[in-house]
Amino acid sequence: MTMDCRTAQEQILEYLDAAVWPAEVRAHVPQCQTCAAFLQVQTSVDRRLTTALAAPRLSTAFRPALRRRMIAERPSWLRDTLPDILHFTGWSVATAAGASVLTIDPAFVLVAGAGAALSSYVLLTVLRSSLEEL
Amino acid sequence: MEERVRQLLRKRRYDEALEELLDLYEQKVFRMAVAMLRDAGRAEEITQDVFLKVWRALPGYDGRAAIGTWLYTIARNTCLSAVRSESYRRTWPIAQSSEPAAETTTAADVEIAECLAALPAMQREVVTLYYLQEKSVRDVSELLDLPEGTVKSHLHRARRTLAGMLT
Repeated sequence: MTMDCRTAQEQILEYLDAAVWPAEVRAHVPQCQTCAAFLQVQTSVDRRLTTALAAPRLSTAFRPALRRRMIAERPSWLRDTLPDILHFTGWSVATAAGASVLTIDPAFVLVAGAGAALSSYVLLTVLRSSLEEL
Repeated sequence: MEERVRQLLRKRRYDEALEELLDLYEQKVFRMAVAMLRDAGRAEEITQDVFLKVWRALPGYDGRAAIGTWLYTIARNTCLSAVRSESYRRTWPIAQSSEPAAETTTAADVEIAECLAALPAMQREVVTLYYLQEKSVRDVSELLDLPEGTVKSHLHRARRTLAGMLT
């Protein structure tokens, strides 16, 4: 059974490697100058594209750089709560200092200090969340 | 391999799941980025962006799509955004290594680049990915979310056209 050149050339395009050609193509190509020339050109194009479009490799810095970015994004308990810890520690120290230095009732200073610490904390939280929304 | 990733996700071991995904897909995603961005250095940055997005999205992965399909969708969208947001010169060659290497651009490379640039966009993308992905029609089909038959058809047309231009 003979094969027409169009079908043979489609098969050549499908499988440039002659080892996997269907038997009909293997029989047709050596007997057909047109298809033999077509094969030669396609093999040459394939070779040139293979060389020109050589698969690049990721650099060795890829994964370390990715890991650094992941660490920078990972939620950190200390990083997130440090401002709050400093806020309350600062107010506690200031309140304690005020209670020992001022001549007014220390209980009043403690209550006023706690109130100021809490209200400023609420204000800061609101301010922080509104800035994050921007 | 995919089942291993699913197991890790069920145990909420996201970092280990990402390592598995990197082993499986990092080179393929990188080559797709190279094909789309035509700049190996920038493609590496975009590949990082892709896997960072994948890592962030892993806790929400619902398992309905195959993990490769899901990852390639993220990769494709990230690359497309990068292409749209930046003005890339549409020139070749793309075969640059992101590691310092000897400059190997030759007249032959330039000729190939010009011929590829003359192809219709889809044929160019298919033929470029086909060679970058080490001649795997299946990989190209997955990366572009196209049936394998469509990939082959673009590839055949591109080869015929290139043969006419290069000979």
